[in-house]
Amino acid sequence: MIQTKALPASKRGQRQRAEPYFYLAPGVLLIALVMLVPLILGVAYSFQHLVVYDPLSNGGFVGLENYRQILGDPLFWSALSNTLKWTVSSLIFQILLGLGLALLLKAPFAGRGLYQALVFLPWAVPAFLSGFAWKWLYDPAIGPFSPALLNAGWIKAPLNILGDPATALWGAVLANVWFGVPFFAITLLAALQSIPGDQYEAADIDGAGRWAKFRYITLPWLRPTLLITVLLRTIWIANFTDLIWVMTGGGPINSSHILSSYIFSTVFQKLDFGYGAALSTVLLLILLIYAAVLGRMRQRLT
Amino acid sequence: MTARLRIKPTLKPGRTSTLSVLALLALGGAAAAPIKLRMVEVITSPERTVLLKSILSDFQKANPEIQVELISYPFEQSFEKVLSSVQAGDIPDIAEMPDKWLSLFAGTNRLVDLSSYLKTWPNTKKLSSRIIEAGSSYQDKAYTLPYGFYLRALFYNKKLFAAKNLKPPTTFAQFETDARLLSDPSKNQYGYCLRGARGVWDSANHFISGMLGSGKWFDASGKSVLTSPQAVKGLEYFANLYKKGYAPKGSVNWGFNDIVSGFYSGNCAMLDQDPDALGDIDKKMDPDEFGVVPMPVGPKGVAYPKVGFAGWSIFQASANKDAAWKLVSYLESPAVNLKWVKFFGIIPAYTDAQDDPLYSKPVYQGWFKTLNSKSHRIELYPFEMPELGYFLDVLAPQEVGKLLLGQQTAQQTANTLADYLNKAKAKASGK
Amino acid sequence: MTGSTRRLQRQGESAVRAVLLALYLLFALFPIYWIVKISFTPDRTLFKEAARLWPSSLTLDHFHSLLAGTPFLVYFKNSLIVSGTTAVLVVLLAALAGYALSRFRFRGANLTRGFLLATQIFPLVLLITPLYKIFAATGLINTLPGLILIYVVFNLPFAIFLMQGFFDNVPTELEEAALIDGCTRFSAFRLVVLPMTLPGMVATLGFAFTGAWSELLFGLMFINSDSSKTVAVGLLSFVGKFGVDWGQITAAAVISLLPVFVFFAIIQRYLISGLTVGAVKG
Repeated sequence: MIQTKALPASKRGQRQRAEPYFYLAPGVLLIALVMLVPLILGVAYSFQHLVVYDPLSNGGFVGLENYRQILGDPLFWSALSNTLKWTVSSLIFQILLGLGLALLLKAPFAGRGLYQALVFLPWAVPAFLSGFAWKWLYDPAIGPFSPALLNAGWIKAPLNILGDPATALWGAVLANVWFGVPFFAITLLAALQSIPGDQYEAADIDGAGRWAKFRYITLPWLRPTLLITVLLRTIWIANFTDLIWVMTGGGPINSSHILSSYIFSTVFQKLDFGYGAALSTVLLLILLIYAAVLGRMRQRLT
Repeated sequence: MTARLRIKPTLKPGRTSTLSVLALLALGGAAAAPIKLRMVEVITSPERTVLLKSILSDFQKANPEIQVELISYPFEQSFEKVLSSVQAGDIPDIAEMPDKWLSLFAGTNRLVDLSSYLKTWPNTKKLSSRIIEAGSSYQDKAYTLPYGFYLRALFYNKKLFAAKNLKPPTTFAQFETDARLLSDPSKNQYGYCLRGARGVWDSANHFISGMLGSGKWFDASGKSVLTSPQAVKGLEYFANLYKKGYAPKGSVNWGFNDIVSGFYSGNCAMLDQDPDALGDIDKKMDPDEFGVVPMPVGPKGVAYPKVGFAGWSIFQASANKDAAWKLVSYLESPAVNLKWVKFFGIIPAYTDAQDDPLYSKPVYQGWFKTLNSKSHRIELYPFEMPELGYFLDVLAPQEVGKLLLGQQTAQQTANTLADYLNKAKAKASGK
Repeated sequence: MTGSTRRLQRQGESAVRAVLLALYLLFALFPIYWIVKISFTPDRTLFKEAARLWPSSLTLDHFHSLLAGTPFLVYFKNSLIVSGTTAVLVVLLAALAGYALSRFRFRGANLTRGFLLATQIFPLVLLITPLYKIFAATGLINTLPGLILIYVVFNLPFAIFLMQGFFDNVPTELEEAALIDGCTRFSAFRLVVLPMTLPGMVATLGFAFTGAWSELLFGLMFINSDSSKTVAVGLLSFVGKFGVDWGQITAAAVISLLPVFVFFAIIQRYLISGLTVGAVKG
């Protein structure tokens, strides 16, 4: 038990029990003040019939009707599977490249500061502009990729990435990877700093090679940070509408819709708030379960 | 939007303001505070906003007791923004109301029926009858006062046409031939900048209605015309433009940005667009590089180019409806209206305005000379149907996309779309 | 291993490292270069020479009309104020909350975590209307403080988790040593643990800043007047009915990348401050 200054035992216990709440209060209360009611309302909409242009039938509680509709909605299932593909593939490459970059940046070299600032720039470009830029790059008429690949003989016909249902989503994934690597690079770099140097020295003395050092020292130390960043990034990526919306609009023929873009379309194009809320709640449940699993893993480590 | 979880709005603006006006009058009306009007612009572009601001400042000089605050929303997000603010109770006095939004805001009782104002307005009889008709699309009440018609035109690349010794097409047959002759996939050259994503129906419907010889969406018994053989033929004609390679492969998912960049870069030679695209094309291409002609005519000798409109609407929640009408009537007064629509090159609201020199250009000649007579006719979309938005933005791109990619036949496409339209129509009649 | 072999090995490693770093730089910067290129390309040749790597003629027109003809500088100033304030507030609050989640096991911990995550997961499109109502009722719509508030609220959860992760990396022996020496927990937190997480705090600061800088949805929905708009929303106004005003939007993007670049150039030194846990030994 952690000792504090001499205090009557009961008071000490009380203060210790209350401690975490003092640290949490400012931040969490602020968030709760603003977000709690809207969140509850948002979930509540999912149990109502709420179609904007249908005011006469609005507000009525329809129980699980919206959810039943979800089960039978082929677009929901394809969006769900796309969300999985989108999230997992973006995540894997972002982690690999991010970790690699962090490791490369760990030891100093001339111009490292400048390099770091430059390499961070993709994260600073607003998502919709990145979407426009990548769209331009992919375009067979006005972008550089298509002519370059044609000239090199790597493709026979002009590039058609975003207009082909088979590749539209992956075109967006590449843009997403480009965008998200800096997040992992910076966070892991910061985390790498806290690994005590003497651990590596001891390993050197034992004659451990580079790979062994990485596997047995670096990775375990990074695990807590990795878990958190993976959790956060997964949630962000799964919910990342802008890029896809700008690059493909969910098309062609809904082949690149993920859950969050499908929700956006449901709310602002179909104008069905009730159904959109139900889809959102399903997304919420899926990601909360995922977070709980990761949280369990974290607890077992610390 | 009507209260959902019965969250009561705190004050009803109209009631309290009437009270305060009465109070002021009772006090002898000394030093009346200026009336503040909030106006929202939604089909925004930077140059247009400048023009609008200057018109508004002229208005305020002539009416010093009224102050106007103009809020211009970014075009792509203007719908989401207006919908969210209105639902949250942050409602402007006046808004620019595009045709597609009319049934939504009118249908949810947000807009003022301007009929009573129009009855006593001297300029009403000078307005084109089609304008009044369009503004009354929703349940025959004047929920908006359209400022003009966006009549779709065909933009073509003069250089590419000249290189193949071609003239811009006047019929569907010529259109297809030109598209074919201008397409050379090996050179990454195509005849038609096809818009396959949101907005595809505007193009497809031109060919459908041309084949049908009618611009109506429903027949006398209220059933969708899409399933008839002529209509299916029109769909096939449109799909073939893509399937035969007259449009780039990626165009199945092309939106507004892609078709214009395709046109500007010379990737595709023909583009069907609203006439206000002229301003933008002017900046990106030299004048001798592009031309504008009326849309091609179908085998029955008629064409129904897509007609859109936008107008001025007053919201029910406005505390100063009369002042708002003052502004709307100013904007729609003959001189101001002409100034406004000339900026875009759209058809003005007043019939005699068509004698203006601007409209002597070939493209307008094509329309005015034959409007309502022989070839080019106006037939509005069923703007009174609130489901139209979903149809145009989601369902049509989805089904036509499947057709373009060979995943279903034209008949199947027509059936699915007709089904949806019939259900929506039945609901509207049942109301 | 002999000295010379080791030297060769190290040189080989440096070379490989340099190549990898260069390749990544190319990948990261090419799209950025493209944006920069467009910003200097005149309208007339923008599409005709669209795929060229280097424009046939350069122009400063876009920058000129952006700075002289639009309220861009006002947007810029607003973004600086909003993003800077948000970043600082977020780091302070997140450090406190992240510490609690890292160090203590207490009732409601998981509920809190779940709630924080829910605010990040639930799609904003459905939350906009109720949030708008709240902010309108408290007079915070169309104000910079209102925007700061919502940005803090939205960036806080991820910052809290991030800081929790960084705190997890710092072993508890340090605070315990300090507490045994007679410090209050808060002093131990402030003087011993927090400095150890300096790289983490700086990283969080950077993310909160960029998060607020490029945020779009709330900027769009909550701000109406030109005088309070942020850069990101200003960028949106260059997307019109007929396409994107590429010249202006890229010019605006280039200018708005500069503060972020400068910010990171400054703080990157703290990301690698190298404070280690050596203090425990001896």
